Amino acid sequence: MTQSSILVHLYRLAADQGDAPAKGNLGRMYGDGEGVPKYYVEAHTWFNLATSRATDEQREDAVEDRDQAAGLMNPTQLAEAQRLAREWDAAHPREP
Amino acid sequence: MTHAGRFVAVIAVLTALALCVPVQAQTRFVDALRARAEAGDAEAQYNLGVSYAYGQGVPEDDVEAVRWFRLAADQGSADAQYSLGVMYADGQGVPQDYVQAHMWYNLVASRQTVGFPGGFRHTAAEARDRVADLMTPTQITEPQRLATEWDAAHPREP
Repeated sequence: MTQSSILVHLYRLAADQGDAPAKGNLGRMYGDGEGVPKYYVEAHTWFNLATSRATDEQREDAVEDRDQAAGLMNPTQLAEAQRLAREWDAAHPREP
Repeated sequence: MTHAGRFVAVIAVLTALALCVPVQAQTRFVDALRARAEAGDAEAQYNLGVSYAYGQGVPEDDVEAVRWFRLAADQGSADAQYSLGVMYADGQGVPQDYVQAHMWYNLVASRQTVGFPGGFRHTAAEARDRVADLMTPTQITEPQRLATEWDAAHPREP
């Protein structure tokens, strides 16, 4: 395992616990193809999830990352990314 | 205390009062809203959602805003349905989701109720069409199916 792929693994663990910065970092790893093959669908999914529960201060950067990824995708890829985000969101409700 | 010191102290107290009173009033307003919202009042649920979306009288919380908008929307509040469309289109409190945004905008746009403001219907139709431009043809059939299901599950008042 390379250092980058270990990092992806750690980000994923934290993201699944609801950690917003980890979701953004995971999106960047997929967007840049670091430790994982470059895959904008997966990048958008994580940027989207980071944005949806972002605080006011985090929101601007998160929206920028998400929309930048969307600009590189076609409608079919975007639809797939939003479907993945919907599924993750339904499986991980925020703690009350 | 010097004269200047007293002046500063008085200004400080007045400023604090001016800042605190509206906040307390907002909190009382939200408490009253919450009581009505929890009792099932759709208008109160929508207004509580707005309070959370803008952080008025409560800390801003988009996830909580969406929760209250949804309760009001399911009771037929057009304002809440439109707001849910916005939250889904922008990805605030929920992941950005064009299928859901399209569905909620479309419910408002397709309202036939007499006396329902046509301008609002038009705004919702425009928002829906902007979202539709970003979707695939297959994807657009999904919100239409969801809207039909929603309509069937929420019959209009006679």
